[in-house]
Amino acid sequence: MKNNSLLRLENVSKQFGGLHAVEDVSFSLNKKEILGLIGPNGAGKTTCFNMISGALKPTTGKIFFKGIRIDGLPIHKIASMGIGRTFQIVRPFYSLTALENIQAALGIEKYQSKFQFWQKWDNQNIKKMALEILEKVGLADFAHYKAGLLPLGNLRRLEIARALALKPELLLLDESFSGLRQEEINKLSELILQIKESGVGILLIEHNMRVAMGLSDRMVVLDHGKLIASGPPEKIKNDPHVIEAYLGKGEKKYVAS
Amino acid sequence: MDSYIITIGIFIAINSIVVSGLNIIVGYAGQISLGHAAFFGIGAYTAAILATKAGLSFWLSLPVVIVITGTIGLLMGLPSLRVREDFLAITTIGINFIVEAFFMYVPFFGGALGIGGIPRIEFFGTPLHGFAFLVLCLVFLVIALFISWWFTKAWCGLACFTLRDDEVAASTIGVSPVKFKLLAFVIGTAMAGIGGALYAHYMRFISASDFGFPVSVMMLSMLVVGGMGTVWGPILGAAILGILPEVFRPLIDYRMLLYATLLLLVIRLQPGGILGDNGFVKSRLKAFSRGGKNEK
Repeated sequence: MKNNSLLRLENVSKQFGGLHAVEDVSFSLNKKEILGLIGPNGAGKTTCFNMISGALKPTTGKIFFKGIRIDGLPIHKIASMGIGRTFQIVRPFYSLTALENIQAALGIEKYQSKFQFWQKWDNQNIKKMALEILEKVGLADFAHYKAGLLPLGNLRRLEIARALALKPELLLLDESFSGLRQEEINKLSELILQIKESGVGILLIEHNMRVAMGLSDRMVVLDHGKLIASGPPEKIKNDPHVIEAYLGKGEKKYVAS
Repeated sequence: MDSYIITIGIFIAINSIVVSGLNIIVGYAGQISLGHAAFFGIGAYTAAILATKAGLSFWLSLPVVIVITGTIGLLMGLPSLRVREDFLAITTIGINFIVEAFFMYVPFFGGALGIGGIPRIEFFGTPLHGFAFLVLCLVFLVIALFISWWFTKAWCGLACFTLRDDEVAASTIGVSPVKFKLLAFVIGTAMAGIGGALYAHYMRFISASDFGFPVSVMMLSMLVVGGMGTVWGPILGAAILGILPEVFRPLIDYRMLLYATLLLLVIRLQPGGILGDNGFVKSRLKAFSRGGKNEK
């Protein structure tokens, strides 16, 4: 079991001065699995995310990806190992077109090499690959628009497309549904399930409970930096600790579905 | 051809080469630099010293000039890994003043007297001056333009564009900020060095004040006016700011006022520069290629 897991966090903690943003958190994620990471605001979800993607170094603890220790490696190294991520607040390359955003991500191997980055990127092959990815997320019609001109819903798709262009084995989605309309949410959920079926492991941070419960195979709940529950969505839904974290004590009658 | 016009042409060509280098740093990689004249100076001084003290010809000293300016450029690129935007601008201004002071106060560099007696560039035994020198400068300009153009088409250029837009997002697609920022600094400053070597051999006398902070500002102005991040912008900018002072020679005392007005007009009306994305040249070309129909 241990060796099969794609991503594994072992007793990871992160302190910012006196603040324990994440405290002794352990969980693992397998291939072809969606793990929902939920918790109230300030629970440490994004901090966890940033440690996995390399933006932050854990104070203590270890993070393994495919059995290799990755905590403390620079972001671009981790990305090149096969971890793609999106951002809670979208960060597309605004001055590039949607297509160029994807083309840029397709160069991941060239950027790591010693000399191959002198090769031409502007070729038909790369363009075709990028268009295919845009088509997959339903942005083909916007390929030649500057990313800065696209609305939020499309930018969220663009970020997922950009992460997919890395051909990741693990995809980290940071609140990819926030600020979207219901139709957009439905379409995006379908897309995420498709990505999962293609064999990618997905770690999903989500505030929208219905979406998170519907998509996740397993869930992990954080509160004040601590892991308070983990298991399948049905179990999480009825876990008294989770209900308490979200709604406080003595309100169990009114738990939302 | 009139030697006056040739002289202006040579200055425009040299400035175009240097500003193309600045364009790679500022326009492509998004690392603001207000100290580019320092590298122009380092190139010029290296060439001048190699020519006057070691007796090396321009052709033999050129690789040395490129290596030295590129290496110092690499070192000066290191601050850009820690400070950004306004702070980087101030840091690069500081670098410019330090380098200028070095030339001014270290006797080896000729001190306040500068370095004189730099020989002309010889090409198979014939010294180049006037029109022939202009041709030489244009050859180097073509090379600089080619590098500039190739940069927009190569992966390293694309990596720089992503860094310019969003460094964090760029790292998540595997772009190492260290590697590609420094690459931009090395190439950009090496181009400034080549320009400096040409300048030294053309002027045949250089002094520290030729490479001061106002020169850096002028170079950045050329880039802004012409169009940051475009291949042809540096040439257009160098040409406009090279010709204007000549045309308005009677107004020489108001030159700085003219520059400032021009710069403000460009920033107000053509924020991407004349050849930039929303500049009138590009929109005209687009309209033209659509057969004159001006759709959105």
